[in-house]
Amino acid sequence: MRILLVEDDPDQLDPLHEALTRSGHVVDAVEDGTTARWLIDEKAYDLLVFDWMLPGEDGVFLCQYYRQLGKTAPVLLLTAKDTTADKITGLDAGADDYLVKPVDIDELLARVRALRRRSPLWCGDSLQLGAMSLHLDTMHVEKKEGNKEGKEQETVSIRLASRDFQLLEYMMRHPCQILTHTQIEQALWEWGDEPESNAIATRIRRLRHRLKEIGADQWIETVYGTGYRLEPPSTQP
Amino acid sequence: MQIVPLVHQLQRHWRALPIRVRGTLIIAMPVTCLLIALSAFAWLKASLVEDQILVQQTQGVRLETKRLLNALIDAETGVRGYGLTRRSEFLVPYQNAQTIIPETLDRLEEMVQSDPQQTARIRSIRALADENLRIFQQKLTLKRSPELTEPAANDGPADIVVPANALYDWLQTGKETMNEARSEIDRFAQEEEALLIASRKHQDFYRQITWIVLCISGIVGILGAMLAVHLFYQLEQELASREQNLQRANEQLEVACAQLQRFTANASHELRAPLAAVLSNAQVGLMMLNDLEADPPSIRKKLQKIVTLTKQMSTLVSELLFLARHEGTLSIEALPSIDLNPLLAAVYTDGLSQAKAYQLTLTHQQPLSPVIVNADADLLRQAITNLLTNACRYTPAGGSIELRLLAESQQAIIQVEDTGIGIPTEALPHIFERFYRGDRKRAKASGGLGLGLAIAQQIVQAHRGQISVQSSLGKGSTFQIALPISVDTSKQNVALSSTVATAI
Repeated sequence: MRILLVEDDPDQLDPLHEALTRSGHVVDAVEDGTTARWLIDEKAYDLLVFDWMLPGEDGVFLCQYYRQLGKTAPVLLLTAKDTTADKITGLDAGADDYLVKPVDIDELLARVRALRRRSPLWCGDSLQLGAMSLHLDTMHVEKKEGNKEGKEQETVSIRLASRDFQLLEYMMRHPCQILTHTQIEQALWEWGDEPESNAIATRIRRLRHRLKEIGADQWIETVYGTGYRLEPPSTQP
Repeated sequence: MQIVPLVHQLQRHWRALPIRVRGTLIIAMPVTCLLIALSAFAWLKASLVEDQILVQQTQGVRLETKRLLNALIDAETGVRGYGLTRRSEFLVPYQNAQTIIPETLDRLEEMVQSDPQQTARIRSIRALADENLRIFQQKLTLKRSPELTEPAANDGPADIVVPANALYDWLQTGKETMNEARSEIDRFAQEEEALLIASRKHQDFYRQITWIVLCISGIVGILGAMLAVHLFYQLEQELASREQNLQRANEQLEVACAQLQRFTANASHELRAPLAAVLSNAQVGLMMLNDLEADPPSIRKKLQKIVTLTKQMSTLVSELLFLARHEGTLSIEALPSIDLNPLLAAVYTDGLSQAKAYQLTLTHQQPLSPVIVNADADLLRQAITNLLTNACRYTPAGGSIELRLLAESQQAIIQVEDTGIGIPTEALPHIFERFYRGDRKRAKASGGLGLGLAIAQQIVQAHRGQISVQSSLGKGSTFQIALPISVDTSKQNVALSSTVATAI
């Protein structure tokens, strides 16, 4: 999931950023409301997490602004304001959830998962492609290995690191398509983080290396000069 | 020299009077003057009328006296004329006088009956007039009876030698009586005149006094009105200054209130931001440890300790903010009427998992009929939950806790009874104090912060209820919340039960 995280205190922003990234999300973390507003205009997000009190535009304004644009992705307000009146104001401004700081990271991640389930793009807690499935909550990828006779089916499963998981998730969401360097870059690189010239190739190589453990390294096909494609081997000629 | 301190003293006394009394006095001043002036005016008017009546009466008396005198003189002249001419037409005034004189005398007597002196005079006048009339009569009979005297009277004094002397005599007496009557009538008239003058003088004197009173009351009235206006202005100024003071006080209160609100909002932010940073950093640290191949257990433990302590700190901050925000009483009338039964059932359901975690049995007992109180449901739930949490913390595993709701005639009773360690007698008076803990060691183990009971007490007191505790060491404690039953609904319930009764 691509998440916009807005929090003015870097001491709080960094761990949240880290935790969300570790859970396999691509996170654009910004410290002020004005930048956040610009990003809302420019990019599409699957989830937005706002602090209330921010330099520039405040969280409630961002909420309202986002809803005015007609966008439907869930918004989570994460703030120190704890009165019932504040909660009502926040939720009425268009937020889907309201968490009072300090928040337990585990609870925050659970809320993020819950909100993802409510997203219009949600299609289950796991993605399927052929014999391979990717569990979004646990970041495990598994592949059913049927031997030729089809008698025994064995499942091999590995847990991916978040960066590999992000790449695989993106590719599994767009299976059998050629994904260009630019597309991958836009989907997986955080805002303000320019990939180096061979960064995408490096990540593909790493993912292939991990997938080798479940015998799926051949699924990723390199289309020279254009990009990459994820395809189950049975459909290959 | 002594006036100034006197005025000051008066002013001081005046200021000390309540506004209502001062207002009444201010209004009373011109009103009293007005009443005095009005009564003086009425008196003046009445005395004028009286005066006029007196003048009229005196004029009447004068007129009657004149008529009496004229009648007498006419009678005399008539008799004399008859004596000289023996013509009977000269007797007409005399005959008229015979009727007029008693009539006028009667009228005069009637007019002066209030004055005994004048009445006496009238009597003597009447006697004299009667005497005169008798003399006239005598004269006439004397002149008529002896026909022989007629020629004598006609022809000359020579014929009437003998009767001439007698005639002179009674002519003399007639004249004397006449003069007497005349002078008596004059005296009467003079007396009447004197009386009139005296009464006029008297009236003038009274009139002057009345005028003076009128003038004085007018002046006093004007002065009183001016004073009243002055005092009224003063009163108004005082009221205005009071209002200003009130407004200022109100503004100060509002500022204080806003400051408090800002403080709690700021405190909320300022206290929570570092806690949030500590908590999430520690938790991300734990997540990173999960990814490490070699997991150093001591680091994990330390990070977990940080997480636990930060969460505790966060609870403490929330509770302190809660206490700061809900200080003072709520306005009971503005609170909604709620049934305690579902509230208690919800607390019971929420408490089950907690009791299970402490290995305790939680039971509940509540009436079938609704128990209506005016309360903020969230706050009340917090108070009961705090008591329940407290009971869980201080009851050893295997014990039991009972949550009870009882409806009495005037109040709703909520009880939380446990079979816990109990509270020592010397600690009982202090357990509702902030940060007080009966037993340091045990409390530390139980994980409480010492604010739960203070919050419960504050909530209950804000609802004008009472919180109390009974405890015996080693056996357990019973915490009780008593809340006043909602007045409107208790009436409704009575109405409801009476309709039920009639239905049966």
